[in-house]
Amino acid sequence: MDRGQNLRQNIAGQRTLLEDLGLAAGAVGILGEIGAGLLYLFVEPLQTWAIRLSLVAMLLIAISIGLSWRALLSFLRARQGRYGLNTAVMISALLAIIIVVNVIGVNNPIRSDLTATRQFTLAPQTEAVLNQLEKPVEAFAFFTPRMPQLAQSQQEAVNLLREYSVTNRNFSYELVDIDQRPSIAIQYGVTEPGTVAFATEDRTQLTSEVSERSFTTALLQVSGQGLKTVCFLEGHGERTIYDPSGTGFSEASLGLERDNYLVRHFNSVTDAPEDLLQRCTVLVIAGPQQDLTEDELGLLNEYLVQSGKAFFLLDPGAPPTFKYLLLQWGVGVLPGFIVDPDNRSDPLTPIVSQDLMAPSPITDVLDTAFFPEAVSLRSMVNPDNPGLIESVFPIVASGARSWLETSEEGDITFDESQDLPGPVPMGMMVESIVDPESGTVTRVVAIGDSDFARNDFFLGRSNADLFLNSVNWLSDQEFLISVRPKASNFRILLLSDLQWRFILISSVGLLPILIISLGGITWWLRR
Amino acid sequence: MRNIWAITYKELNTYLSSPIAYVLAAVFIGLAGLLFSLSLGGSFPEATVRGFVGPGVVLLLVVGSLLTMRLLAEEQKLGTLELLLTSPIIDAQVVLGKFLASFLIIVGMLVLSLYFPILLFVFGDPDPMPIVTGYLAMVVVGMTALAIGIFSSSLTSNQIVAVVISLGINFILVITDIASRYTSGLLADVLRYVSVSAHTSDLLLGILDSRHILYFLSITVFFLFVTVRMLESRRWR
Repeated sequence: MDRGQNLRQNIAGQRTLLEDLGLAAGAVGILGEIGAGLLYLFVEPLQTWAIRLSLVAMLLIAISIGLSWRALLSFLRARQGRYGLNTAVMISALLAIIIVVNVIGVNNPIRSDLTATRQFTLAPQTEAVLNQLEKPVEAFAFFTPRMPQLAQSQQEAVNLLREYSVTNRNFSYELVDIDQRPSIAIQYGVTEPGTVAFATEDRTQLTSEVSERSFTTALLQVSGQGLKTVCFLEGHGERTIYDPSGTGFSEASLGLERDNYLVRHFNSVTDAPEDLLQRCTVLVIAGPQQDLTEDELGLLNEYLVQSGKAFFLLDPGAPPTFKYLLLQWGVGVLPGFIVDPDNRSDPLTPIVSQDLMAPSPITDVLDTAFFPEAVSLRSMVNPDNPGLIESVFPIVASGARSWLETSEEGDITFDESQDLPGPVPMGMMVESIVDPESGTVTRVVAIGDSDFARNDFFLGRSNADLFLNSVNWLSDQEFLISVRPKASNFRILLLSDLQWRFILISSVGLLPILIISLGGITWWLRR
Repeated sequence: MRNIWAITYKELNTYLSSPIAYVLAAVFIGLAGLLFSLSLGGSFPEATVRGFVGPGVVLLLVVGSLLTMRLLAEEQKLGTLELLLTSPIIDAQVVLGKFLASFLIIVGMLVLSLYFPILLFVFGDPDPMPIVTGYLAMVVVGMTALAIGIFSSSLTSNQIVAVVISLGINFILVITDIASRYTSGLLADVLRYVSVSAHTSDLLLGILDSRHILYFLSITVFFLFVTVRMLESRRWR
């Protein structure tokens, strides 16, 4: 073998090696491009890395073409190469067409609820709310298999949420097993299965009622489209939400804002009456010092009669017009102040523990609250509406050793002849149906003290919870949207034992035997 | 079209003269009947077929794989596929004919299962449209399972391997819904969209949505097309 032949063989060997390396680089490059594409599409935080990976993969493909162009050319010229490439191109083209058609189909769906009662069709109001969603809203439905009594409710919640998510892609939902994933429940402040949390980046709204009305109301609140408004009455020496001092109510205002309320003042002299009647979900009357005028009294009474919700916090010496207004709703304010000897450091600040609170949606989860300088409230018959007394419930009372001190002068000691022995009621809730047809109600909560919610004491013990629970209860039935409940499409099938057994036996036994027999006959005939 | 019918007729004959179609139909109807009866055995049973249509969809994915496992795999094993491919019939006609035959068997099974809604109408007053959409769900899922099954059968001459591949693809299509719960963003949306279960739940409730029908048709067309290309590739591989 001469030197020239050796050299040619060496060059050919090196060329084959380079071509192999080129093909390997090409394969890695193609895989890299696919990976980069997937990363770019699906892992948003790594998009920059995906672009870098794509550039490297392109470089590898270019190197591959440079090194192995002969092998690639001969492959493409060969029968297998041509047909293989043709097939790959056709399959890719079909896949691309299918993806495009599906993307168009997903964005332009035709959807029809064919159930007899249009059970899954959302109300136009809900659709309007959903169509205005600009920011993503996520709903988490917290349920657990350990409570089968909630199964029906869970199914209804999922069905509703699915329709919401179909209507607007900014809305998504997730069914969460509260036992399996408690961290999500903690994150959204959910404690009970059956609760649905609607969440945006900065707001969360919980609802435990599975209905379109409550879901849409929660959606309105969480998306900021329609927050419930809590108005604080001003103009009569009331405590103010802008006052950050110890006697102000700025802490209470912050607490309400954290619970997704809009908080504002309402001045019954300078503000338009419509502001109160149409905008205020709850009116808070916190420690007024001066009387209402006749017009103001009329306006506030009209507000309450039209299914208004009011939270009275009255101190000793509250102006008579406010007492009169409260009396219209079956709650009277007794003269005097409460003395609680169990609070040795300050007997004029009654301490109310859980056992002194009547079971109610307001007090159920409270621990202990305290009320500096409190007055006593009693349910009293309103001569214009004597039946109202049935709708008045005491919720908070002072201890058994306390009393209502009626003497304004002298020693503060219990006088059997004048003073009222404890427990002395100092908190009342009223719920009165004003329109039986629509089910609208007027709600009133009255506490014989406003100090408990002032900045100095708001965060003490359960005072904040008592204040916020009261507002929550008052606003609870105030849905921001009116959606009529749909007629149930549940069609029960009442079967006797005999009928059910017939269905079981004929379905599981008769039909399969018939099919097997048919097979047997066919086999026999074809035998 | 005549060629397609000829293949369909031949395959139907094969199905009806072998025990597989009868056994599969009996098992499917028996299980569906059991699920249906149990769903009516509770305290407040609802006059609906949801009790068997929901699990029936999963059953159909299995039945579809079993029905189609032999369609092309057996032809490859016996060497009759070459005869078929060299005949004047084009590949697409072979695939469509076999698909149609297996589809008719599935439709036959579903027709037999109409006994269950008939019982509902005899003993109660069910809402008819959710029953119709429920059956539509089973038809489109059946089509999808058959297309995947035929594709798997075209990949190998071994029927067991074919059915394993088919069940594997079906399994992936079922679990992507679960996988989507652990992801977010576009990936979660894609995984949810690819899932069979995400596209049947509406139909079971009585909601007709063009997206679901489009999804099942897309999967069916894609796998049938790839199957045709797989057969075609035998000529140049």
